[in-house]
Amino acid sequence: MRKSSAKQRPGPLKVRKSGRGAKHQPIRKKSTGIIGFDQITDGGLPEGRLTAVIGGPGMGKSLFGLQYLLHRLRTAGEPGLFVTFEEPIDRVRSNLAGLDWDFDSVPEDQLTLIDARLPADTVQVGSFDLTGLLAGLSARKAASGASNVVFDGIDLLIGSLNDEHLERRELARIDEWIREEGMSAIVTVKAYSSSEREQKRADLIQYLTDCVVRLEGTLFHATFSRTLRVMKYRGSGFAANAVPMAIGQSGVEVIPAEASRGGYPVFAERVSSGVPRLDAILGGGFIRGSSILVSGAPGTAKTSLAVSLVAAACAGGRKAVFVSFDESDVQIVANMKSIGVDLERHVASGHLAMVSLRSSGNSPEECFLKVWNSVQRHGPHVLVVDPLSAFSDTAYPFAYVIAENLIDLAKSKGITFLGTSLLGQGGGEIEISASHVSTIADTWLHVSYVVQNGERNRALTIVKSRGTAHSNQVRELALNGNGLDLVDVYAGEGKVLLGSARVEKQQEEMRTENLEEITYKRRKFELDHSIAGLKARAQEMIEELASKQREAELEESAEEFRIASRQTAVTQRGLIRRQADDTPVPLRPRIQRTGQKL
Amino acid sequence: MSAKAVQTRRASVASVKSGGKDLEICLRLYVASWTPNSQRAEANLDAALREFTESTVYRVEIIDVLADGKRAVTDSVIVTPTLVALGPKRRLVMVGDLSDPGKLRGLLEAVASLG
Repeated sequence: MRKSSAKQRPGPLKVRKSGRGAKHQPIRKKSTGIIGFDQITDGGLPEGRLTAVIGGPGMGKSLFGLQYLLHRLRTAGEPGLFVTFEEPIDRVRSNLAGLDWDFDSVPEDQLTLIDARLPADTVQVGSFDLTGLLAGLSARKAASGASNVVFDGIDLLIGSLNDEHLERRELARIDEWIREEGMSAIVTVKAYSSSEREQKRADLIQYLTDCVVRLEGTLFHATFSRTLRVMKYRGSGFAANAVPMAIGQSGVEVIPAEASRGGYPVFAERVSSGVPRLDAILGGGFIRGSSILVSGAPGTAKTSLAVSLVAAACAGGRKAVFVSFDESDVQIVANMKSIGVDLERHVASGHLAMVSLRSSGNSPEECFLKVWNSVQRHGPHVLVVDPLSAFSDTAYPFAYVIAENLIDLAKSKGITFLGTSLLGQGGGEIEISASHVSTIADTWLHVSYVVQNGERNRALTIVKSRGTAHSNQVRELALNGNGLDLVDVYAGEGKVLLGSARVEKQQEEMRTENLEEITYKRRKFELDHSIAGLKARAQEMIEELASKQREAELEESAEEFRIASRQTAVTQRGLIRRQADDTPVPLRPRIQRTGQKL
Repeated sequence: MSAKAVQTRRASVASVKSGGKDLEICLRLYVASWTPNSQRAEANLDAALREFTESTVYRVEIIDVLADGKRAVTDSVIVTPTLVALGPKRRLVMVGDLSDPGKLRGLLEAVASLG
């Protein structure tokens, strides 16, 4: 993707400088104040050299030049000259009125606008050169000490020479002049790729300048997307890719394709997600300065999760910025009341800034700038973009780069970032490939619908969470009037149940258990009862036994008495009748037998 | 050069038009002293005035912007050579080395015309 010369990045120029011979002065650079541009060129424009900014009309060439001059004046105190070949000075000024530059406060002698348009009725007779202009500029330089100059739209003047060689000569003259005067210069040149002449001029400029920047634009659907490309940079490495560019309130902004990556501040501090059980699962909340992606189908409470984070931060006295696309802030505030989150209070207290953007009609670059400007104004701890897919899922070639850059910038400032992403109900693999952004997110929560028994329930999974031990369990995300919370799902009998199915299953289990308890109690009661009955019967029988035994004893003793008395009677009778020698004995065993029977 | 730089050249004083009063045309030629374009322009203007004007007074001022850069600023000189011609009715600006005698003559006539 890159030129071979750029391969030595990112071990930046410093390394190469030391390797150079002492004979050659390493190129020195002047920052342009366009952060992304300074990043891709490793410092800005070459000092004391000629830079060409090429692009079609309306691409921001003049703005680029003016921004450079103003930045040099304000940050380095270097006065500048702006030579306009196309536009009258009052129009240049009025073009800048819409920006936040406060251009009118710049003293005229510090940043001089020079009208170098030939009078409208000028007649050209033969060839001319720019010596007159340069002589005038030398005089101005001597007066103000200017060290930067912009020749805006030089093609208009030198084009009227109508001769390639003469054009070349004049460009060379400018180059010679800036070297003599020690000026750093930008020439802006219109380019229409169609004409052969323009192409030749573009080639010529490539030869004659040390740095060539090309500004281009493409129309995607109805939205204009700008790009900037460094085509050449003598003596310096550079990122040769086209990078997204935008023109906003502060002028030209360039969003480098290569995010800085790494070197982020590291925090141990945790930021509450606003969902108590989620915090618990994550070991106390999200890590401050980390990036969180919440993915899921429409209606899976992604926004609610995002709002929870914001509300928790605001309630803790922290600032937050909530960026929504295609949904007004009023609507969101109203919607969130239904889950018991009062955003109005935080907006009123100044803790929360709501930013509503329209995704159509704004290029991702412009959206990026709007988001970033509000971040810089507000200085939040938490930044939410809902949905982030407004950046990353569009047809723009740099949408993904921009989403990455946003996350990168947030991280570099220690801002906890949460973006939501609309993902379908596909399987896990599809979901992963669907979003590049997921690779740079530290924590990825996925909310999906589980359809069971005619109802949809939300299931939350932590797909990944860097630096946090986390559960692999799917949890049910429950919304109620008091906000969000996680509920353990019913997991048993090889099934995972959510929602009313879970509730039903749990109730059914409870019923079954109750029933079993009752059955047990009843059986226990019955057994106890019969044991008691048996025990009573046993007692009765013991008593009966005892009484029978007693009876028997009595009977026996009565019999003994009878036998005894009968013996006595026999004896007495024998004595009386003297018949004792008959058979008194055999009577006795017979009586004994009778007694045994009892 | 500087001795020659500012001079008044009376091409012809003979015939007098418009009620005996000389018609005066101011010509200011901005040059960059040594450059070929400028030198050609000076020569071309000189030749044109020599062969052309009988009835008009031309006051010619030659300004070397390399010698007087401030003048280039105040007079908003953009390219060299630039010829500014001030006539009674109109002001004309010509840029270039004036290498087309026919065209130059036409322009000088236009400046001088009263219509």
